[in-house]
Amino acid sequence: MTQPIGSTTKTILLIDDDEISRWLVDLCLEAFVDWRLKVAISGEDGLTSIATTKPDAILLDIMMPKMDGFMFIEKLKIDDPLLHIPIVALTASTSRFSHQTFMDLGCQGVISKPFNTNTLGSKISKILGWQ
Amino acid sequence: MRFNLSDSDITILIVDDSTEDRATYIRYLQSEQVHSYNFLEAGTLEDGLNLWRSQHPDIVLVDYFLPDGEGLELLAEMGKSEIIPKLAAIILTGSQINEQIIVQSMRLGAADYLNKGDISAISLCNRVRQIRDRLIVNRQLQRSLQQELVVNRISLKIRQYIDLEEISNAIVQEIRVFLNADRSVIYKFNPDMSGMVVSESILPPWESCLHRQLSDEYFPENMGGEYRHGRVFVAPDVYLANLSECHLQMLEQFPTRASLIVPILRSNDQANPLWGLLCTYQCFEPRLWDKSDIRLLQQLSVQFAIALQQAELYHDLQISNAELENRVADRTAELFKRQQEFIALVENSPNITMRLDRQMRHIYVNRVVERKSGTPVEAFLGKTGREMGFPEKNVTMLESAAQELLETGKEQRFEIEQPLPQGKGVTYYQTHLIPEYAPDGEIVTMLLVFYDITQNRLNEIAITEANRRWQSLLDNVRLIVVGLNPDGIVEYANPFFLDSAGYKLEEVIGKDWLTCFIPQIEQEKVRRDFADSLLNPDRFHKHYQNSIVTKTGEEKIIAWNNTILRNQDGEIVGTMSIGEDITEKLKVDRIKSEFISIASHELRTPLASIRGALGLLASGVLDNKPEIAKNMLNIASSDTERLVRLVNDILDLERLESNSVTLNRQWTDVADLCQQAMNTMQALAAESQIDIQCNARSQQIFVDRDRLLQTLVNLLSNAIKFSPSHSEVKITTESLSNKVVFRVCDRGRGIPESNLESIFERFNQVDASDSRQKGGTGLGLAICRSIVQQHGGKIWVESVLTKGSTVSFTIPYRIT
Repeated sequence: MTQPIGSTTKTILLIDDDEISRWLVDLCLEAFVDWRLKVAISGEDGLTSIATTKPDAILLDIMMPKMDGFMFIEKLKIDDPLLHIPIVALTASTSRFSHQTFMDLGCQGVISKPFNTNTLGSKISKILGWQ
Repeated sequence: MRFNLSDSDITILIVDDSTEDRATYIRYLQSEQVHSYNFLEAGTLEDGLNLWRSQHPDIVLVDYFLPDGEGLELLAEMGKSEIIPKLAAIILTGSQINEQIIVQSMRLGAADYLNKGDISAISLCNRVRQIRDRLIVNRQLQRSLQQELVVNRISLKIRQYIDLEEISNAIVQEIRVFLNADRSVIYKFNPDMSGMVVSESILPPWESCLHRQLSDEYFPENMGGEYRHGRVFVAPDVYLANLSECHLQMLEQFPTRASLIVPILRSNDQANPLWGLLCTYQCFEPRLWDKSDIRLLQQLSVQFAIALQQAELYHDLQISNAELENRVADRTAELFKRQQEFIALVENSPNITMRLDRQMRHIYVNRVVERKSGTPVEAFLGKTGREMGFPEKNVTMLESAAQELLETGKEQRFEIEQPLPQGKGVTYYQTHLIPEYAPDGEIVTMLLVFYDITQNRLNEIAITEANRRWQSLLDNVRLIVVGLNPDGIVEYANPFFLDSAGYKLEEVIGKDWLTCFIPQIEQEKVRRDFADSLLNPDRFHKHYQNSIVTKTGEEKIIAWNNTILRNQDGEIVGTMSIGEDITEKLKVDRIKSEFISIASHELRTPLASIRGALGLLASGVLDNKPEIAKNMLNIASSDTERLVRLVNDILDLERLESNSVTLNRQWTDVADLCQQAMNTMQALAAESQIDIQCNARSQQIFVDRDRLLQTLVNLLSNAIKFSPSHSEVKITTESLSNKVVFRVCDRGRGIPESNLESIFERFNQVDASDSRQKGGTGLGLAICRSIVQQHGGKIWVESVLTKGSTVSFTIPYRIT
């Protein structure tokens, strides 16, 4: 959030209904990488934010009320069937859904909650091939 | 020595002392035109006798007065002889002869007398001719009598003897003697018309030709030639018979001078009637064969042919007789053997066999009875079963069966139980009563056979018992049991299947299982697997899972345990499947697994905050940001609280729902309980400036006080959380006839109608974000429901959006 506009700094769109979760991710990314973080508090909010934020990647919570992560991806595919923006699932539901479920859906990778605050940034970089 | 062979061959003996007279008589007789005579002359009685003895003249002319005696003496002497045939004599007398002499001479056998003085050529010839004629007639008569005698003798022989050789020997013997021939033979033709002498009578010293093979080219050429037509061959002298040289040579071997041959013809063989020849020979002298000789031979040939036929018949008869006898002997032996076998069979049979007369007395009893009853066979004989003291029931049954059999002639079968001696249990017999008939068709005896079926009966009882158990098991087991034939047709379905699927037996038996009871979508796969299983028992699906359709159209998932049924030959006759309805189990499993995954999500969320906060603090990035660090600690602290509540609620709910918690019931006052709940929540209510009202009436109920308090507190807590400030929350109770109704009312935002049921499910808050904002775990109402249900009550919610909600629950008085 401190990076000047127009730089090559990556922009990440975080979609999560849990406020504390959003805040924690924000703190972690701010502390360990120089990415710009945009947030959306629901699936619907996320869909509308994409046009304005033009993120390089989406960090997506799965268990959300009304439009959950799965529905979000399905909706997104309507506009962008090829999912040009890479998606990383960030979820506490890894025991309910297998890793493969997310990959089949079109995600680039999965990070399970609770996450290690020190390595969250590097994990995302690794998944997206930004290193 | 030989008899006259010809009628005309007459020798006359003239005994007269006058040479002149003798010459006169001879002259006279030689003047006879028709006949010629041979003459012998004697001058004295003695000479005449000698000539008579040596020459056997046929006629004697004897002078009454002879120098050495009277002519009558000659007659007297001739009359004594038995060997030499009597001869016709004419007494020649002088004129002074008296009647007395004539009578005397007649008495001595004289044929006639002539007065010497009256003798003329005519008178002498006439007298001699008369005598001669009489003599010849007489002789012919004699001869034909003798012939008849011979023929009769032979006929008798043929009747007496069957043996052809004996008959043929008799025939040749009779012929040779009767004809005074040298040789008489029977010659038999072979099929190739060669032949052999099979019988012979021969006068010594001639050589025998018996069994000699004779072949004459003449015979084969024309199959016996004229003989075939009964032609007789008569040769008084073979050298004058115009025979071929080789034929003569053959005849000379024996030797032969005169021959008389008649054929032996079989009347029963038209194609080849010539069997053989009957031959008579003179070896050295020629002979004029008499007609009667030929007739005799012909007659004997016919007789022989009869004998032949008879012998053939006899031979055939003998053969068939022998065959018959052999067969009778064989049959008798076989019958005897069979009888022995039957006796052995009956005696060694395991079955008691008896023969009863019409009065039911034992005529025969086999040895088995001793072993079975302990009573010796002899004790049975002549007695009835009643007299033997057999059980009344059995005796009555046998008597009525016997009566039925005697009336209808039909075999009877029945079963009896015969107690063993010394009370060692019971033997079961299948009893068979069989009629036995006399040749007139009357039933004379009855055969009674007892088959011991004790083992069968015990097996039957055991099988019935085993079947009953299986049936009982199948009828009562809480599992589906279905039997299919190899075509997939239902052959058996147990009551549990009928109950749980809602069918009647007749709606199931005989139906195609796959099309009638399997959902369409699964039919193809199940059909394929079923067929595959039967074709390849190695790939048999012992365990299988598929859905079935109940009568109401509901689908149930069944886990099957399949068995292939085979007959005694190992052929597959069907399948028997035992199935468990796992629909509910699968549903519970699914709910459980969903709960676990949701619970894990709910647990991870606060953990994520705690870990994140602590991680950030530990990393030191917040070292220069004390405000944020403090905030982090607060987050970690509050989420820890939440985590504790969550874990407690999850464990509590698990305990409640797994029924591992037993209610600690005690008499509790409803009003006290409500008051205590109010007190507990008073602080929280005050915080939100909410007023709690209670109008509960005092009433004792028998409940788990702590659990019911937990429920009321939970409901109050929810009501307070969702009520706006300065509003009112109310607890009311109502006593009905059989239960108490508790109600908790709020004036909060209300619950959408679609959520009225689901809010009692776990982690099913109307708004997921409430869990953090309102501090709920999402399990409170589920816990409440569980507690109420454990008390036998119901819980529900009524709500109007924006106006508020009322959660009600009932607690029945009666503990169920």
